[in-house]
Amino acid sequence: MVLGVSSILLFKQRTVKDLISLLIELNIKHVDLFLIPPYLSIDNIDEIASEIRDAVSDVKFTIKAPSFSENLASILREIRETTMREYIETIEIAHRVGALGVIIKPGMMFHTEKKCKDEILGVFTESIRKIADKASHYGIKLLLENYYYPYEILRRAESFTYIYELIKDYNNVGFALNIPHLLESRSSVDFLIRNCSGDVLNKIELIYLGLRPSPWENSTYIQSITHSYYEFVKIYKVVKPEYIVAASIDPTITRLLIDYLRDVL
Amino acid sequence: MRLLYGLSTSLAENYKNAAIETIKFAIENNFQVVEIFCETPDVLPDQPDYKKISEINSIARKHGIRIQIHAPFHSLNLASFNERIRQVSVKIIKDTIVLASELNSPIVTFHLGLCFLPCQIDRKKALKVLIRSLWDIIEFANDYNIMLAMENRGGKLDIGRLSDLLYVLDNISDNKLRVTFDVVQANVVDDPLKYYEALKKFIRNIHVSDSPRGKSLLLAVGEGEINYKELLARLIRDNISAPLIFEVANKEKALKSREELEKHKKALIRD
Repeated sequence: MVLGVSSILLFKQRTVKDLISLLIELNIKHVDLFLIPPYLSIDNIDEIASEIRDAVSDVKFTIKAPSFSENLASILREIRETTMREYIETIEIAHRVGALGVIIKPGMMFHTEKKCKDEILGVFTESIRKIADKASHYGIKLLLENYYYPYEILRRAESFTYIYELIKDYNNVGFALNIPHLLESRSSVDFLIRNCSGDVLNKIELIYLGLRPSPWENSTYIQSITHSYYEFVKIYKVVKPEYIVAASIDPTITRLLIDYLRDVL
Repeated sequence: MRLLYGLSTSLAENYKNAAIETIKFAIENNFQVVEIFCETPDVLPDQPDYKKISEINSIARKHGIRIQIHAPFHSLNLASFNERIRQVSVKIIKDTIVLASELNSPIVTFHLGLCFLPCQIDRKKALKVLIRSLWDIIEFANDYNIMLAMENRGGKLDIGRLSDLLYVLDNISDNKLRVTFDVVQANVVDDPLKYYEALKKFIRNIHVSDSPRGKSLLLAVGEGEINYKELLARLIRDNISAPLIFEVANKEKALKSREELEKHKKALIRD
């Protein structure tokens, strides 16, 4: 198990040097590089990864693909194709910089997609398989992350089980469990444990911790840190993921999360 | 003053034939306008079905139905900091403009974009990105003589609050850029009448549904808390002839909404 931080610390005018200082201060050896163009993109990721690697010995990387509007399940072909290109490119970047895993947002089904569920899920399944094959080709882990809005394909316990059926034959494909997202979807770790089989839970290979509603939003809901932490303690009794990532744009929150996590690990 | 009533194709039961189904319902029930939401499989701007376009044109022309277009918006972001996402969003809106031209629609309603983490930290920069996208789209729309109508939005991640629309109107002075006033989206975040007063000069299209304050439930007019009688009074007072497009949960609610608005209109004329 490796304890890590998300590169979203680079937001709010912080430099790579600031990030490196925090890694050294907290003795952190894993960085989850979230590709958010233009801040972190195909154009500068090699340079940033190399700068971190030079300063922090034995550092490991995972890469979170661009994950805001991206949607592998869109009714719009151009959105699906753009998303696919970004995800494939992220896998190639991961291979280039020696990252061990790539995290993607599976997709969203809005009203239209739900009305055309059979066709859309067929296209979606095909896309997931193509990406999984590409990741497998490079020996990279592909991790599917849960999100919290009602239209998200991977959201609550039942969708973990559904997606598991699509990915169970791939040794290199698993889940990235985002605890704030799980809580925000009005679910909980208890519910996940009760409703998912051991096989499904064992596919969780990375856990994100941060503030609710989402580490990927500019949240100020500081109190939610305790709730996220308690949920982490529960899941950690059941599964032992390879990576645990403290994700916040705020260094103070990151320090707090790392302190909490070190108490458990 | 005669009110112009219309239906969104989002009301259709069979999404694979949403446009034709809605047009037929409009004909049977004397609606004048159909707004085609271009996210149903029968009318997708990035995969145009010319046979379907011809069928829509033929039936609409025969029965005097005015067609107008609502661009796709899910997963589109004209204000994205990610250039690839911004460009595909601009392209899909341009494809929608071409489709609007083929369907003889004078107007395309669209959403401005979404505000994710980078925008939440630097909204000003996101709005500048948005303006760049809009100039590109407006020039294109001008070539097709299509009016663009940006819609106000009230969702947590939406760019489309009153302040956003006013910012765009301050920065882009072009008489081909106007507003689709979504009453229930205004009601999600504020008093719809306040939105109306601020935007009335620019309103060319109106989305109608009802809801309790702070929510967007797609109820029929009269089933929620929006003061439609007052809104109607102001539309009549200001001589705004924009079509009233029912974006409600089903066809029955569209019929009920029209009945309710007609009742208000009669009462206003009587008073």
